[in-house]
Amino acid sequence: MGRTLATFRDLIEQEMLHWERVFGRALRREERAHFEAMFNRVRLYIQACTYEFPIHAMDAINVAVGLDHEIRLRLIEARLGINLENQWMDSRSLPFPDGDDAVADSAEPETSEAD
Amino acid sequence: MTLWLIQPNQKRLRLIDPSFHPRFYVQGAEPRLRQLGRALAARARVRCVMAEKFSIWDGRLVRVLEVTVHHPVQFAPIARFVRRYDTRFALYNSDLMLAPLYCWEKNVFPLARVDVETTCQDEPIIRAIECRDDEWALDYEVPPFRTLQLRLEGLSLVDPQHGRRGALLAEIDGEEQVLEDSNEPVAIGVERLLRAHDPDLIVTEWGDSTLLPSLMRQAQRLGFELSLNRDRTPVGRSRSRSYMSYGRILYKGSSTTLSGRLHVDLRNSFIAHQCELDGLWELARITKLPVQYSARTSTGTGISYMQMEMAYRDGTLIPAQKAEPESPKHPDELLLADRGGLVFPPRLGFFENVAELDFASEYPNIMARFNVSPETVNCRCCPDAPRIPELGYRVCRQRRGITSRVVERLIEKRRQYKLRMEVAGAIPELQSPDSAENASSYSLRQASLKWLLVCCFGYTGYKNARFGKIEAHEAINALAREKLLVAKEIAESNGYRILHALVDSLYVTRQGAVREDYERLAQEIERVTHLSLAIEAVYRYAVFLPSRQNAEIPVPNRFFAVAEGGELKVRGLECRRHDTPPIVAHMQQQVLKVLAEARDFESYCRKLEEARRILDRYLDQLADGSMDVEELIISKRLTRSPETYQKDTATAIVARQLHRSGVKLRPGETIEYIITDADSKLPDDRFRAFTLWEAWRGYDVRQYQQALLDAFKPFEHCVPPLVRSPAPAQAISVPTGLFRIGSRAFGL
Repeated sequence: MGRTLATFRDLIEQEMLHWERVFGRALRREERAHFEAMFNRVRLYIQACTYEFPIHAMDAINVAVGLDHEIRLRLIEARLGINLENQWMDSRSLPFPDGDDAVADSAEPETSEAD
Repeated sequence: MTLWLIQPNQKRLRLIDPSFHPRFYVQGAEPRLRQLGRALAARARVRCVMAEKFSIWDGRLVRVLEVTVHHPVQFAPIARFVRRYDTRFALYNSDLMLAPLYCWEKNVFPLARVDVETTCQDEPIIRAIECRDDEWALDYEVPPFRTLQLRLEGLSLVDPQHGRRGALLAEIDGEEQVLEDSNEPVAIGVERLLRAHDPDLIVTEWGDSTLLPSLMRQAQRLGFELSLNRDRTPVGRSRSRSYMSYGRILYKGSSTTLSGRLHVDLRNSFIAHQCELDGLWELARITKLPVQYSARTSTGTGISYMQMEMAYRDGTLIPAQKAEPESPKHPDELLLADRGGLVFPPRLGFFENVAELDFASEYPNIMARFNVSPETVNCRCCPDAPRIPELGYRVCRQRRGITSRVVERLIEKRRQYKLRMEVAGAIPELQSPDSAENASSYSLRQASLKWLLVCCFGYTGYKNARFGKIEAHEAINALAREKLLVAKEIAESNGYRILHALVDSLYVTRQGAVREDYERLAQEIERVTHLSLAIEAVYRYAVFLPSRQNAEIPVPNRFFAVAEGGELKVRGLECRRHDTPPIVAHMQQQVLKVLAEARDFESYCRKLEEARRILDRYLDQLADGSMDVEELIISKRLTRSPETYQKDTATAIVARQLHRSGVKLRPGETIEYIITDADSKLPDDRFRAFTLWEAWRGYDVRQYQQALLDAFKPFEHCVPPLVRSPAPAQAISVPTGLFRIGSRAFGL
């Protein structure tokens, strides 16, 4: 532990350096700061990454990044008092408008009754 | 074998036991073994017979040649001869120390009360020896030692080899004497004390590397021999060395050991430093290693010898070198197996009503409860044994592991000591001076057992451990992870929030929970995991702190918490680090003491105001030069030889200063220095070795003030920015009585 194999903390560091070299080079300066923060925040879930310990560290890092975004998104929703879940997570199609048309044309701008 | 005893009439005896004939075993082709037997008989007084003994790894009987050596002094040379005679031979019990072997054979141990039958000669010989003591007893009497304490005047932290000078302070029978060369050579004074008081125990600071060797040299120059030993044998000396351990370079000082007296150097003894002499006596008694050796060796050696004693009593062969290599593993298996305990990074901030639940001695308990020992993991006799979670290793159901049996006794003895400590603390009638002494003695003894237990787990994965097997180490870790996750699941299903979890402890909270609720939770976890779990403390509040580099990222083990009774628990703050200057540590301790009076967030914020005044006082003291220079010492460990440093770091500059002054420094040694002018263009002016520092060099006020301000930040982390202290004023007025240039203060 930490001798034969690198710890997950080291792996996060290694992956960040690896991705910084090429991927990071092509990022804008203002984007790079977030890039580093994204990797740093994986450390919040390090116990789960260590427990899973996949062959490719990036697999766990990706899940951790996704989870972090999910959690923070929900926090923002709660703070703003909104819930996007009903709209985003609903797998059903959007309600059809009344009428005889089989397919609603979403590109068509809505017109108010006042018009 | 030579034994030293104190008789009830206070007479000191040197006794010889000629009946001790150590044995070792050789495994190989039988005709070759018979040849070896003949070759040995022609060379030395030995007895060779074929015998059957158990193999440690599979528990089967194997035929070996038993070699009994008549003279113990020939034990090691004969074993060496056998090793060279045929390299195909496997040797067992051949590289053990003779003193513990004697103890195992005669059922005695260091510091034990014994009955001895001797011949009536000038040099008495032991006819029979019988132990009247028990190493597992909780209450025992330590021999009535006459103790001489020797130390140099001044700051004991600094190695005298780095240039510290001072008079020699000698204390015996509560009387202190100052010995200085200006009156008479110090060696003569010490010789007089030795003759007048004939001490049994010499307790020194830096005696191993400096005091005793210097005294012996001085005595030699004056033409007499210092009577440090009670007999005519020469004083035992060993060289210092630097070595690597867990990626760090460490230094082990030289040693000076005596015959007929005990010499303990408090600055060269881990156990005496951690657990004082009470801990040392406890360790020597149960590990059966000679006291002077116990004082200077690692606790790992102690636990190894306890395991070896267990094997010896079972009739199991003790391999001379580690014989069990790691089993081959697929990379996926290695990924899965090579992991430590689980750590849940803490939630950052201030939390009220937090309970810390600890699995008591979790790793040793896992070894004892689940029979995890090097020889029981993946044994050949139980293919259908239950599997270890995650790894699928099996644990033997037929044999009880050696390590499991050793730790079981240690855990039990430690538990008993802890119980007695609690009783002594809880019943006021028992709180007489005597009982207080007992409580502290129990506490020190249980702490020394704790070190043995800690090592016991580590040694299963240590490459040179005789009873090491990495699979056992991995199995223990896997079980610990499983138990922690189960505990987490139970806590969460009961509505508790996990704030932090660290391998064997959980910090949990639930609104409105009281101690009884936490106790119920602990009981439930205990019932499911089969491991004992205790409430270490219920904290009024706990503050979990982020990494110093990134204020968003939590780091394990950096927090402070205040228990119901006001006791503090501090981890990872500057005051816990060894390289923090005392001024910073003292400031933090004082601040924590004030903050410990807070009960909730509101009162914490109020107390923070009071704490800030403490910080200001320290800042002012630094600026006006009234700070004692010893408060400013920074200690650092050398990671290499002084001449091989490439950059001008503080350690490099100071090491070079000492080197130039003729001090021989080795990697791993600790050096002490003062920051004199960190911004100076001349590297040599930036820092000064403490032993070379003179008042005119002053100290760097700004640097030390910055260190104080940085050390105060953790206390403000959990409060909103408005409540925090304003940025420090850059310009500091020049106080009177102090000579300043730039940011440096010069004491006059």
